[in-house]
Amino acid sequence: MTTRTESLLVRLLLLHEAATGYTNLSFAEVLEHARRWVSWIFERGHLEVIDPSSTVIEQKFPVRGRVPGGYGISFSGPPYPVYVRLVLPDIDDPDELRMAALYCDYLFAALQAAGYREELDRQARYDWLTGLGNRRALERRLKGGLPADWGVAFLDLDNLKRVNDTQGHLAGDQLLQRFADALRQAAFEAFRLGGDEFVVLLTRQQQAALLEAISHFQVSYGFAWADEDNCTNLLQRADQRMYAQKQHKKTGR
Amino acid sequence: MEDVTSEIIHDLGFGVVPNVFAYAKSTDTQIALWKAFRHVVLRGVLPRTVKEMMGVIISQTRGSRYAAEIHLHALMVQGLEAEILDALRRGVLIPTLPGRVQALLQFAQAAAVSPHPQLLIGLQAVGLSEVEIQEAVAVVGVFTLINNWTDMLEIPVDPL
Repeated sequence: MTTRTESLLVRLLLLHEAATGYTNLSFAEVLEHARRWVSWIFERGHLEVIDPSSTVIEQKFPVRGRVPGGYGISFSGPPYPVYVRLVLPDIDDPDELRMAALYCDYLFAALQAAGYREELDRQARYDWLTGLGNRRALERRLKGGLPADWGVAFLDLDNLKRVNDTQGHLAGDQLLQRFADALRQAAFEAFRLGGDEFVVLLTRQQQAALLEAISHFQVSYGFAWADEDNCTNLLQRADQRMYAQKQHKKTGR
Repeated sequence: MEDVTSEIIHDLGFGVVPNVFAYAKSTDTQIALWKAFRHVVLRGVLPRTVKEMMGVIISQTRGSRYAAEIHLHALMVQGLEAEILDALRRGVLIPTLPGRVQALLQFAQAAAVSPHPQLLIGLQAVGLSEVEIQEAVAVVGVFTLINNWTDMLEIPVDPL
């Protein structure tokens, strides 16, 4: 065996170890892992993670392949687009080119897996329209229980249907987003259950601040507190109180 | 003991607890040996492949058979070529390996018999970080411990 082959085989083993190490890493961890391993596989190489909108990329770099001074891959996300360049002075050597291609292909697959895993996780936890936690996230949160002085506020936008009917669904979506923003800006832990229904977890002391935060919206609301019932029933209690308020608004009784 | 046993089987992936750990009659000793090996050799910042190569060199240099055989086998399973395995088996360093790998193997060979702060200079020269260098020192320590443990208790090499 040539001495060159011995070195290549060890580097291949290291490349394999780097690739198996990508399993279950987050997107950011994949990039960090790749950065750490690159110098084990390419003694004179290093990794650059470039914003694809940067002027460096203006030279029409390929989506995957050789670039000046190295090898590059373009990843479009999720979670966000990046251009990764393996800077390698020896890239003209066919062995180095092949190793670089392998390294970058493994990295691309790992970025794709981590990116889509995070996206799926995000979709499972967050409401796509408002970015607030969704019903499942609230259920998970309530399973952990609430401290004694905490409770839930059930909020229902009174005029969403009218806005949808008279101004269109885009206006309705914007109303939902503005309402979510108001809750977020007031730093409340808020969730959208669906439609026009929202839930906020809060302490009794935060009750006034919540009413202030939503004062510019037409909202019906009901509160229920942890010392009244278990977490599962709290939501139902708050919902009933919200509904009673809504009926009161409609009928005046 | 049950938790450690399943942890060893799961993390090593051999399906059994190797003799080096199975021979410990005290849970504390078994945990101490396992955690040291797990955190220094299986985890950490240096490639496991390189640490196993260091383990072979250290064990060969010290004349300890158990770890040398086990890790040679592990490297063979991973696909390391016969020529490199033979060199490691003889405790010989191959000068053409990648620079960092070469530096770590040289360090392991020297530190196995005569540990000295001067040996770290070679690791610094190839650009290894302080964390990586400390881990290399720990690798020597763990394999020396394993060598003493397996040699003095005459622990047999597992069927490979």
